[in-house]
Amino acid sequence: MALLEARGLSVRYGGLFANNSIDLECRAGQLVGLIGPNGAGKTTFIDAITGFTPVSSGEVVFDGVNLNDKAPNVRVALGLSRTFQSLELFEDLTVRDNLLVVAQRPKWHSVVTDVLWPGRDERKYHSQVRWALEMLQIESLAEAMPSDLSHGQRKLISVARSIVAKPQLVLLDEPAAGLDTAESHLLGERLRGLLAQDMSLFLIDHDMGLVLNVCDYIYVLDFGVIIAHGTPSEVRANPTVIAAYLGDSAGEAQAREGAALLSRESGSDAQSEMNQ
Amino acid sequence: MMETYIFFALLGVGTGAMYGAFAVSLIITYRGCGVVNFATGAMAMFPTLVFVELRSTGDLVLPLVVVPSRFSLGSQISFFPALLIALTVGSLLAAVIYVLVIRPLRSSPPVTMMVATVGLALAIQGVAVKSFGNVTVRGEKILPDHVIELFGRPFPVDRLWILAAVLFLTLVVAAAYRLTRFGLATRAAFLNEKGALLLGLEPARLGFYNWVFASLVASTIGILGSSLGGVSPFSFSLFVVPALGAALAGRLRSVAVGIGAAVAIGSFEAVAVHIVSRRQVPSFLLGGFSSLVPFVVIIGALILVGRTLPNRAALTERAQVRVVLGRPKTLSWALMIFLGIVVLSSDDATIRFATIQSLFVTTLLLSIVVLTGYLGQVSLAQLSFAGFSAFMLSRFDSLVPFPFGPLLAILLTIALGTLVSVPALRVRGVQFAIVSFSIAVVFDDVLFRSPTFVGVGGLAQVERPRLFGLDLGIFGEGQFPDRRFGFIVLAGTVVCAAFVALMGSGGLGRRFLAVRSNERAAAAAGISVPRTKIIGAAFASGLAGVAGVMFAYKSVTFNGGGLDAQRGLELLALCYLGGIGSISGAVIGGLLAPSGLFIVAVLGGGSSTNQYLLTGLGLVLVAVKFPRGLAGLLSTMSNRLKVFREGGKFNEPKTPTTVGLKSSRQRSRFSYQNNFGRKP
Repeated sequence: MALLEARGLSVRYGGLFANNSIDLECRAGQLVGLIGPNGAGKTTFIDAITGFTPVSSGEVVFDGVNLNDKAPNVRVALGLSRTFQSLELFEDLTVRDNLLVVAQRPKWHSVVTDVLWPGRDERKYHSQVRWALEMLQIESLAEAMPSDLSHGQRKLISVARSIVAKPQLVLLDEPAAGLDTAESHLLGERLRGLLAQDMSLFLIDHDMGLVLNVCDYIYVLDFGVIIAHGTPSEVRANPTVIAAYLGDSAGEAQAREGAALLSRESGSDAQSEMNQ
Repeated sequence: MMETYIFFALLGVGTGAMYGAFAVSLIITYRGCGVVNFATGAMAMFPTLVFVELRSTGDLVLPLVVVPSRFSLGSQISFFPALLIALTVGSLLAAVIYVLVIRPLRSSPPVTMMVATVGLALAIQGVAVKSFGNVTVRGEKILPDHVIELFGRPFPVDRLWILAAVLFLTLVVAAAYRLTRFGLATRAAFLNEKGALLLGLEPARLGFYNWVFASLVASTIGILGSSLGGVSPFSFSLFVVPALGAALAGRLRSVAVGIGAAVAIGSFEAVAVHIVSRRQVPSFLLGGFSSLVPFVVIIGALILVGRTLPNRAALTERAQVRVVLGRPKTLSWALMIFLGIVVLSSDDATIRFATIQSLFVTTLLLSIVVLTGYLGQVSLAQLSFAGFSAFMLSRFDSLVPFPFGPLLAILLTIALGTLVSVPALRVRGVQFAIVSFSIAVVFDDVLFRSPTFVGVGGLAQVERPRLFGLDLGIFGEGQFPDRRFGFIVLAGTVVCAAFVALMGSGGLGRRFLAVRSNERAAAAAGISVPRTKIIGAAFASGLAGVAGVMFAYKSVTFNGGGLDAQRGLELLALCYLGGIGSISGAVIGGLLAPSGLFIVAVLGGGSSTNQYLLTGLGLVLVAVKFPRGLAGLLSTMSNRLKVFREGGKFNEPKTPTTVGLKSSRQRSRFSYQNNFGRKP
C-alpha cells in the first residue's frame, strides 16, 4: 500500500502551474526519487506535500489521512518529515540541540510538564539524537555550532535532524547539491542504510548519478508535469526523459560515461574511507 | 456637523505633517542602513533646542557632557545663521553616531541595531536635559501664523505652511532617490548588499549619507514646527509611534504613502480630540482616545502588509544573541539568595528599599528575558502589563482576601497579555517591538491616565496584605520597609527565576529558541509556531503580572507615573545592558535599575539624569561591543580565568564544552576529513 499519495496535485503561482496534476506514490520501505531540471517544480512539490505552500487542487494522502488542511507541524507529527534545500538549521543552537528540538514531539501537556519536570524523557531524546548522528556518522559534531561547520557537514546535520524523530517518511530536498561526487556517493550509501531502519525516503535531486544509483523508483518532472516514471533502468532508457533532461542522446552517452567514471573512482575512495 | 469634522481634520494636518517628516526620516534610515531608528525623534529634538537657544540667548549648545558645552556667540542670532548652525550641529551629531554606533553594528541582527537606537534616544535625551534643563520652550513663530476664518471658526494657517514645507521636502527626497545615482545605489544596496559591493558601491558609505540625510530631514521639520507645540528634551520621542505607523503603511518604502498616512493620522487625532471634548465617547476612554489612532494604523498596517515588508539584504550572517540553555548552577543560586537575605536584613532602610526595588525590576526583566531573549519578540510593553496588574490588584484586594487578590490580578494580566499577543502572531523581531511600543503608549494614555481605570483622584491604593492575622505589607510591624516584606519579595523573585530556569532547561526552552532562530524550520520540526509564541507571551505576561503585584505592594499608593512608554524603553535598555539571554542578566539589570541597589549603595543615589544618560550610553556600548550584555561579559571573563588557571591557551568558547580544547573550527576540519576524505 502506498504510504504517501499525491492525487492530481496542482500548485499555481498566478497563471503559472508549478505543479500540474501530479499523481505520485511512495511505498513503505522504498527510496523514491524525483528528478527534473532546474525550475521543474521539484521543491514546490515537497512544499505542497509538507504544507509550506497551498495546494490549488488535488489532494495529498499520507498513511490514509488526507493532509490538505493540515498545518506543517501537524504533518510532521503524523510522521512526515523534510529537509530544506537551504538547510534552514537553527543557527544559534548546537547541533545536539538542533536535533533535540525535533526529537521531542510536543504534546498538549508539554507546556506544563516541560516547566515542572524538564528532565522528563530527556534521556530518551538524547539516545535518539545519538542514534541519528551515528546513522550519518557525524557523532563528533554534536557540540559544534552549525555556523562553524562546512557545507557538507551542515547537509548531513539537516538530514540527521529530519530522521531523529524516526518519521515514517522523509522528504529530502536536494541533499547532494553542492557536494562533490565522492561525498554524494557516500551520502547515497547512508540513505540506503536508513531504509533498513524502517523508514521510507523520498529524494529530489538533479544529480542523475545519485538518483539513478540509490533509488528504487523514479519520477521525472519537467515544467510541472510528470513525464515518466519507473525503475532506474526504465527511466534511464526512456526517450522522453533523455530528450527533456539531457537534451539529446549524445548527452545521455556523456552522462553514462560520467556515471561509470563516478562509480569507479568514488567507490574505491569511499571504501577506503569506510575502512579507516 | 460634517463641516466641524473637516475643520478639525484640517487643524490636525500640521501635526500630521510633522509625523510625516519623521516617517520619511524613518523610511530613509531603514532603506539606507537597515535600522528602525527609535532615536529619530531625539536626533531631531537636539538641533531644534539648539536653534531655539541660539535665537533666544545666542548661546551655542553642543551635545557634550563633562567638557563645557555652552558657548556664547554674543547676542541673539538671526534666523538663517541660527538655522544653519543648528542643522550643522544635528548633522555632526548624526555623523558621529553613525561612525561610532551604526557602522560597527552593520553586521548585527536588526533587533540589536534597533535596541541600540533605543539607547541612543535615552542618551541624547539625557544630554539634552543636562544642557537645557527639563523644560518645554516655545520657539518663535517662523511661519506665517495669521488666522483665517473657516466654516465660521478661526483657523491658524501655520499648519498649512508646515504641510507645504513637508510636502516640498518629500518631493526633494523622492526626486533625490528616483533620479540620482545615489538613490539608485541606495536601493541596490538595500536589495543586495553583496552585489552592490561587487559593483564597486560602498554600502557603509551609502549608509552614512542616508543616515545624515534622514536626520537632516527630521531636524528641519522639527525646527520649523517648534512653534507649533513647543519643544522639550522628551517632545519628539513619542512622535516615533505615529511616524512608524505611517512608515509601515508605506511598507517602509513609499514616501508618498507614508506622508499621506501620517497626515491622515494627524487629522484623525485632531478629530478624536474634538470627539472627546464633546464627550461623545464612553468616559472610560476620555483620557487617550486620540492615541488609539496611530495604534489602529500600526496594527492594521502590520496585519495587511506585515508579511510583505521588505527585509534589508545583509552581507554577513546575523546571529542572534547567544542563549545558553542548561541546568542552573546550584552554588551560584545559593550564593545569590544568601546575599539577598543579608542585604535585606540590613539596618539601613534605604538599602533595604533599594534591594526591594531591584528585586521588582529583576522580576520584570525576567519577563523580557523570556519573551525577547528566548523567543526573539522584542517587547516594550512588559512594564505596561505590570502596571495593569498593579491597578487590577488595587481593584480586587478590597473584594477578595489576600492571596486571591494578587492571583486574580496576575491571571487577568496573563489573559490580557495572551490576548494582545494574538494579533502580533504574524510579526516578529523589530515589528513586534513597534507593536508593543504602541501598546505601551495606548496603555499609558488610555488606561493609566483614565480616572475610571486608575481610581478616584487618579490615585490607586492597595490594602495591606494580611494572612492569618500577620501583616505582610511593606509597613509591616517594624520599620519601613519591613524586613518580612523584603523576604517575601525575594522569595517571589527566586520562584520566578526558578520558573524561567526550569523552562529554559527543558524542551520548551529549546522550542522557544528554535522559533526565534528559524520559523520555517521550527514548523518543519513539528513545532506549532503560533502556539509557541502565545505560550511565551502568556508566561512573560505572568511574570510581568507578578512584578506588578510587587510594584503595587511596594508603592501602596501609586498613579500611572513611572509606567509610561518611555520607561518601557528604559527597561528594555536595562535588560540588554544586563544580558538579554540569561537570568543573571535580569539580576544584573535589576541591580543597575534606577533607585536600585547598585545606584543607591555604590553611587549614593546620583541624579536621575545621569542615570538616564549612563543607561543609554551603557546600552549602546553593550550593543556594539558585548551583545550578550554584562552577564555575558562576566561569563566570558570567568571562562578565561578558568582556562588561565589550568594553564591552557584561551580560545573563545563556542560551546560550553569546547573551553580549553581545540577551537571548534579546527575540530570540525578534523572530523570533516574523517567523514569525507577531502583535504581541508
